Amino acid sequence: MSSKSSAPLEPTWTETLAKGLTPRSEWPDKDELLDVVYWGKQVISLLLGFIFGITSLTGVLVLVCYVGTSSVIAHHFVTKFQRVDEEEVGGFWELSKEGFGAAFATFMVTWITTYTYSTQV
Amino acid sequence: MLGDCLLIIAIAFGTALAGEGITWLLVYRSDHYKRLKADMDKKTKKLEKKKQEVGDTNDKNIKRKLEREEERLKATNRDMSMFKMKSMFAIGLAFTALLSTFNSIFEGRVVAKLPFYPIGFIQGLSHRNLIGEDMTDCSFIFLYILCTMTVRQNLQKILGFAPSRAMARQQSSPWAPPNSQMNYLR
Repeated sequence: MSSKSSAPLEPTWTETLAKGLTPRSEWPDKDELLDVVYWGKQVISLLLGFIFGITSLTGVLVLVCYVGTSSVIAHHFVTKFQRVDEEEVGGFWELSKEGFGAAFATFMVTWITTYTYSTQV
Repeated sequence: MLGDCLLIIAIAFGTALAGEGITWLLVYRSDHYKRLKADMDKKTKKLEKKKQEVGDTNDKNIKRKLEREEERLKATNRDMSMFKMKSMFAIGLAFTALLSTFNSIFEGRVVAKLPFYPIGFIQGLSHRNLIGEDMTDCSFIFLYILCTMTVRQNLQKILGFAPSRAMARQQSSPWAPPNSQMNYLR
């Protein structure tokens, strides 16, 4: 007896992560891919904030470098690594905007905290 | 100074968790809100799909039908905002009081060194109530706002309270009520 076909199950975050790390995965639901981009930017922000802070890099140019780096990485991840057409997720601008506020704040907090630590040592 | 930084990050975590917890208790948990949200999600996706299918057509009937759908969507969105309004106001008040308490605790204290030279209104925020002329000294409120921005949004995302992208696009349109993202930082 086949039970009534239930709503498609939401993928767990580990499944989404595995898909995100596998090149040319299938993304029927574009929101899932954008979630990977969102959390990927968070990780990049933490890493860059930590590296720039520890190496005591200063100045507004570092901010510009961060924004450029995270946008290019997101763009290449979607178009080159996952081979998904950018237009399907709203284009380069939508991709750059995805989770930008939270990621920028994460970068700033990490950069400031790590820089404060390295100036004290 | 590093201790102050980590303490402020912890405070931001605490207030964000408390804020989302109380909002869940008062708003997200109620059946009425769940029904409104599900209704809103469904309608938004249906409308977006219809818009894609139709593209930019000149057919008046289709246009009128789409406009009627959008009107219904706006009404549901207004209901949701009204439902959240009372609780958000109470939570906003509570956290504004909490914020001023922390502000007085960290009054005049340099909590971090900024790796850049702030300009304009940012300087007014990052150097608030600090003595001296070194503008790379960072005050409590500046770091606390940055911490709240990152912690709160990520927490909403993890807990599933963040509006779906289709809804966020709908809400960011000019006539929709402003998103209640920063309301308890007033």
